[in-house]
Amino acid sequence: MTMLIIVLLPFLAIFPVWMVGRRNRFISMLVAAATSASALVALATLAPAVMSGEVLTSSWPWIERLGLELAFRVDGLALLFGILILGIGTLVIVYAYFYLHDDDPIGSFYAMLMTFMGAMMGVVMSENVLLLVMFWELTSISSFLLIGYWKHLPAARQGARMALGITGGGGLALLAGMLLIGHIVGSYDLTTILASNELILGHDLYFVALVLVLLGAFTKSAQFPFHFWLPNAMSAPTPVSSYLHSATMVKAGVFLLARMHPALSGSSSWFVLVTGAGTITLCFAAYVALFKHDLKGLLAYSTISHLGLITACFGFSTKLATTAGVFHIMNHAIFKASLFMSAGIIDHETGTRDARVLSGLRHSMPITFGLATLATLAMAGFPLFSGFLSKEMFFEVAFLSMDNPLAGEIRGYEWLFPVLATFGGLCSMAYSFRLIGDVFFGEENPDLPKHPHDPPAGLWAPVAILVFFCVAIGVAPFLFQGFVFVVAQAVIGGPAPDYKIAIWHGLTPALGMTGVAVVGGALLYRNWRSIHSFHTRFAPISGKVIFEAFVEAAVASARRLTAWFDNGSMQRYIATTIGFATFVGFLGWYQLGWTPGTLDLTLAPPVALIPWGVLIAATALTIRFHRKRLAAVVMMSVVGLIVSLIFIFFSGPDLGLTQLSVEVVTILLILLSLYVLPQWTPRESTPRRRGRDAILSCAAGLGVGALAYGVMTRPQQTISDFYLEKSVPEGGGSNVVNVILVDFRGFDTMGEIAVLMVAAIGIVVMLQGRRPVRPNDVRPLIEERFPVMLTTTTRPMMALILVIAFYIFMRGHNLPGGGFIAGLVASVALIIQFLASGKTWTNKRLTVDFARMGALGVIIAVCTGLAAFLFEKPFLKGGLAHVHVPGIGEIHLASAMSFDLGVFMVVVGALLIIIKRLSEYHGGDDDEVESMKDRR
Amino acid sequence: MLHALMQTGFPLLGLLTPPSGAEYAALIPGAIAALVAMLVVLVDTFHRPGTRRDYLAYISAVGMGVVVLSCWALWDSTIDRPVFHGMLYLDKFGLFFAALAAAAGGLALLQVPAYMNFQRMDRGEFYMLVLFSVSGAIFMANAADLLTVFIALELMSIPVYCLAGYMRRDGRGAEAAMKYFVLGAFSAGLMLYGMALIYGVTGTTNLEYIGINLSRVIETGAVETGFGMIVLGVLLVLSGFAFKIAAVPFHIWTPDVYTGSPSPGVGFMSTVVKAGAFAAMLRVLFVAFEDPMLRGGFYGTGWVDVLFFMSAASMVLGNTVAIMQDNIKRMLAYSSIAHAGYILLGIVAAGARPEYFLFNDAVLFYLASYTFGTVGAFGVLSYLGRKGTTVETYEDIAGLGLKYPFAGLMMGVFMFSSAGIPPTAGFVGKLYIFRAAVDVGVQTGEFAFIGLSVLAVLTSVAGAYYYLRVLVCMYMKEPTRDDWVEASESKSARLSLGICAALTLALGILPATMLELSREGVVDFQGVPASVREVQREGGEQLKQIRDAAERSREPAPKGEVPQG
Repeated sequence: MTMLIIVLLPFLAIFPVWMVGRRNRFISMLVAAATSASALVALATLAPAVMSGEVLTSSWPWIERLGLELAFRVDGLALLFGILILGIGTLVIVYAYFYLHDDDPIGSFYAMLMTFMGAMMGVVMSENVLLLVMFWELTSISSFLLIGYWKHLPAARQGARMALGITGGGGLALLAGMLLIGHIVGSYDLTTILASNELILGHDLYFVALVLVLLGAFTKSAQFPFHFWLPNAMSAPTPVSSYLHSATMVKAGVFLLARMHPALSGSSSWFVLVTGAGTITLCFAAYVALFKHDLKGLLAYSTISHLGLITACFGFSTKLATTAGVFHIMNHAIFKASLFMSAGIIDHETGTRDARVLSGLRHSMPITFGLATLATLAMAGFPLFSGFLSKEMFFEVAFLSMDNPLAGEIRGYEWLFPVLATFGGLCSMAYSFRLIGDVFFGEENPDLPKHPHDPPAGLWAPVAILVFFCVAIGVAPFLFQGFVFVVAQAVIGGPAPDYKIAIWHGLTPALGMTGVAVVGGALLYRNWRSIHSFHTRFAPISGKVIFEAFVEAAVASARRLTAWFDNGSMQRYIATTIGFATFVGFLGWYQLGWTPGTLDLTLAPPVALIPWGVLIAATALTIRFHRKRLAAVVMMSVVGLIVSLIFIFFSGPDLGLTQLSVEVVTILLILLSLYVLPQWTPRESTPRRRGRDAILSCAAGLGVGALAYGVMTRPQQTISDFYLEKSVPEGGGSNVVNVILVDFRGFDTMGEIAVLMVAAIGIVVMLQGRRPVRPNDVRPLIEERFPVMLTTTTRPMMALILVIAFYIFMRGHNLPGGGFIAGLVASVALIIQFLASGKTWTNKRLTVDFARMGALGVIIAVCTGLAAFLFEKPFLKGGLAHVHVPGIGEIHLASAMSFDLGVFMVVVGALLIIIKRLSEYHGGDDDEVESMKDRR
Repeated sequence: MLHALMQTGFPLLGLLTPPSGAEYAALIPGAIAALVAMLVVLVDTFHRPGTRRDYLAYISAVGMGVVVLSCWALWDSTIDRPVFHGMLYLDKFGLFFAALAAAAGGLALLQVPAYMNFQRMDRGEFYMLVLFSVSGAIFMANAADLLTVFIALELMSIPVYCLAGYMRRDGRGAEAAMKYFVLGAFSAGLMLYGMALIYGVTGTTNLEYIGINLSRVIETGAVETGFGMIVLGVLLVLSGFAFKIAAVPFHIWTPDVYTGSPSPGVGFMSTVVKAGAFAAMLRVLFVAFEDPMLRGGFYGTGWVDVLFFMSAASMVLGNTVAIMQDNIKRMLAYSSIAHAGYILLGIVAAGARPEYFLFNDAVLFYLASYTFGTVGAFGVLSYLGRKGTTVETYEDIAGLGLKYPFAGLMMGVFMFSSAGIPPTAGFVGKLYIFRAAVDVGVQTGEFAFIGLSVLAVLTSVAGAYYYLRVLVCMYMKEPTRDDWVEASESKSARLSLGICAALTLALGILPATMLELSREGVVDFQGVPASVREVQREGGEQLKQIRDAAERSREPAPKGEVPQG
């Protein structure tokens, strides 16, 4: 339970701290500090057990299906990090209270800090690796907020975003790696994973998993080539830098290396990757740090360099090396935090952190001078300071690594390690000298932005506490040896090495390397100016530039992609969609090949060839004349006519009839709408686009044609037989199509006619009270609107057509025809009247309420269906009756007949409503013409 | 191969007998949604002009709540065979999606008053359209027949086409509606074409019979002598679904339509329409196209491979292009394409072999987590407004996080979830999907799956970048425009956002219930062939054990701190 409390305490404090911070800054600070201090105390209660070598774990089920549980563990490693995080955290909280300006909202600062602290504690104490990843990402997020705390600085925003991009991305890679490891081991529990070293190393996926985990660690710990986010994150307030970028967040990466060390190390890929990255970072960053003028920038690169040292230690992965690694983690956290705080004090008191401007501060800021010097000596690795001990160990390890059995591909180059290590130490010595020498010694600069003096105790006291530890460890290392070894045991996964941390080990190679570093460093500092001018001759290749170039390239490619796909042109969208659909179609044939079927082809009689030729010609002409709308409509009517003929040719008279009447009505409707459209379609598409469209339509057309050919040349069984067989006995009619419509599928038809009515009403409502916008180039109405020939022939014709409609309706059940066709034919008769004689004339005579007629049709159809209930049969069950009418002959009266009547009425009603409304839509010209005529 | 219909003895005449009473339960959720829609139309007729229509939002939301409750009530009385003569299923899978669609629909509708008052477009049709579409989505998830799939698809889509053009005074709205309609109609046509081909081969539209008959056709070797009609049909049906879920290369309509449509409507169409299409797609793929030849193993061609490439392309394209958008709605449109890619990743993993069927629960969970996050994100855009114009660019929302803490906080939750950052639903969803893919990759030894999940991880980094940009704008930038953006006073919108955020967090922190529900949904997925049914049975037993274990562990206190040497 204690563990859960330790992790939860910072999170629980978020809201109180935030709320109080608005009213009282001091209480907010107290709450925050008290929280982390009490968490530290709680952790201390676990320390004795850990020191005796136990690993404490406790778990609560959370999401078992995902293998995720709230499992925590405290071993030496977690204890070390816990103390660093909570201890330094408490000091930073106090420091920040004095550091931040009164205008800075301190509540939200502490809230974010507490979130970060909790997340860090979660990372170091997780027993479940997925939980670890979750907390890991949370540290990325909260550090993003902390780095961007001074949101008025654009650099802060940029730095924050870059830090988040790199570390967050690394976190996701880590997630993938942990999932892989979890799968290899079969458990997400650290205890199990740490015990499965051999299993993991032997697995095929080891290398993938290793790379993914290392990506996570290297991005977080700013290892080369991912180091560049850290210097850019220096725009954060100094308390944040001293906390995140010395003790905690950047340490999470090396923590991960240490944590996963027992499970993943022991292979040559581990050795090469980790040691390689660590050594390169160590030297490279130390060299760059030499030339940084911004104090925080210098410290940032120094941090990167030290993290490289620690990484290299874990890469060597001998017992001694890992001990050196954890020892240096501890030392570095302490002295770097104090140095960042000192830099913050200097910035706070002088208003600048530029090493070129600062000078001679030892007089005005003696306390700061003293503390910073001690901390710097620890960083440089001077004897009697903490840094000396761990650096000495590192040199020894680097020297011993010359015969590391895991060298693998880099065998033969192992001598590089001690050389590079010495070089790194040398640079580190030099920049330490520079830090103290430039800032505190020399002439006093009178032109500083502020008048420097020592800060209040609240600012320097935290530094003093940390510096005390630097010195204490350096002077009396035996006091801390036990603790370091307990930590090292957790990383080694076995007993600690047989080694004694001491100041004097005799004349060892390491001592020689230290000597070279000290002397070389001093020389380097003396000749700093000439080296600096040499250095500035090369253009800096910073990772930041590469990162930004990468981001820009991504954005540019995104822009290009967008311009290509998403240019807003519907033609292109349709072309793309059709193109992919056609491609998908051809994919099928590509896989299985296309072969024509085995059926014999039907012979085409010469007579049939003529309409086919006309059809093709008409289609081609439609394309040719499609800009001239009237011509296009005429051509289309030809196409429609021939399609009807084709239906008839293939013995589908019913279909042919329907097609014919539908064709007539549609063409009439199009002609009506042409009235409000310009005569010509403007020419808009480029030849290129037309070419593309031609290719696409040819491809799609050929595909569909080939498909149809393939289907039709294969034997097929239709369901026609079923209906042919059942039509007369069950439906009482020999016209199968009609029987299907009104009997077998009567329910569908009923739905359809209802929909037709609804559509008609919808059109009426939409056109209600609207007037068309008249295009300018519409030809003026001709004087003689209603041609005499048309008017005189249509009037007698109407009666004739209506009789035909009645005939078609009556014979419908047994012969081609039926309610639907009859309705269309009747509508044609009436519509022609509108065309020929004008709406005023027609409306005067045609006083039928077509809406009512349609509604009545629906009602009749429904009632026919319901009537079946009277005979205790299911809905729409048909009945038969034969009636002999003298003069006409036998009439076959099926109940379907009345249903068909309903269909008829709906068709006529719906069409006429639409036509009438459309004719009114054309505006008042008709009336004007009429009235003019009347006046004459 | 066309005799199949007769050979299977499809009960043609059985169609004439009425369904039994219990079967009507399958209609309940969808029918309630349709009834609520009609009720809303009716109530709106009596609306007093000049007053606000907030009550319609509440009526709709309550109605949707009833749908969710009905799903809950039916949860344990599912039927293990298709009902209505093989037209619909009543199983937990369908109920899961029905509840999800209803919840998303209700939440989106609660945001409508805020948006419509800013836009001065307070009309009642909006509610009706959304409700009918929900009804379509519900039927789609329960469909057991290609015809039901198609009709439900149209019922779901047509109202959405209208929704897209709802802002009729905005030219972009008309453009959106036009593009959506034309392309949508085209893709529906493609799908219908594919269905016709499949009908031609198998002689039936019933999914289960299609499955049986396809296997038979493939066994008899008719495919080799044939001409790929089956493959063509499968691919065309797939492309129809791909259009609805906005997967590359059928995604092209998405950004324009999302930009032109009203924000709450986009929240709806990017979640419910997608969920409905995914549900039907799973159903069709795993019931009708389950034959190993059609499934395609890896690099044997089949729908798994097609979806594999769609998934990869969607993730890459969606995430890359989203980075550079200046319009948040457009950014979310591209990100929804990317999300479709992630979901497809889950389907690819679960579809690789019959024995991985249970991994589909990751798909269900991801859809749930995606739904609440997305509806919420569009909800925030609806909740903020300026008189007469919409809030949709990064510039519009600059600095609003501090000015309207509620909106800022909500947006934070939704963006975190979309980016997949703990402790939100999106994180668990992504984790679950990636884990499924990695598991399948490790088990089959197909590194391509692992490669795809690594690609998914990498692309979601880009996701983190552009989602957080929204928050950066809201919190770290100063407002750049003079005309002030306001937060709505609508209580219903606030309620909706609150619920979305609560669910997003709840699914992220305590996802156990939802995981269990999605697992149950997959275990009770009806219509699958015998091989999968075996897997389902095992999954069901596992589920029972876990539940028993949970029951037992609830009794004593959690494990103490056990020292381990």
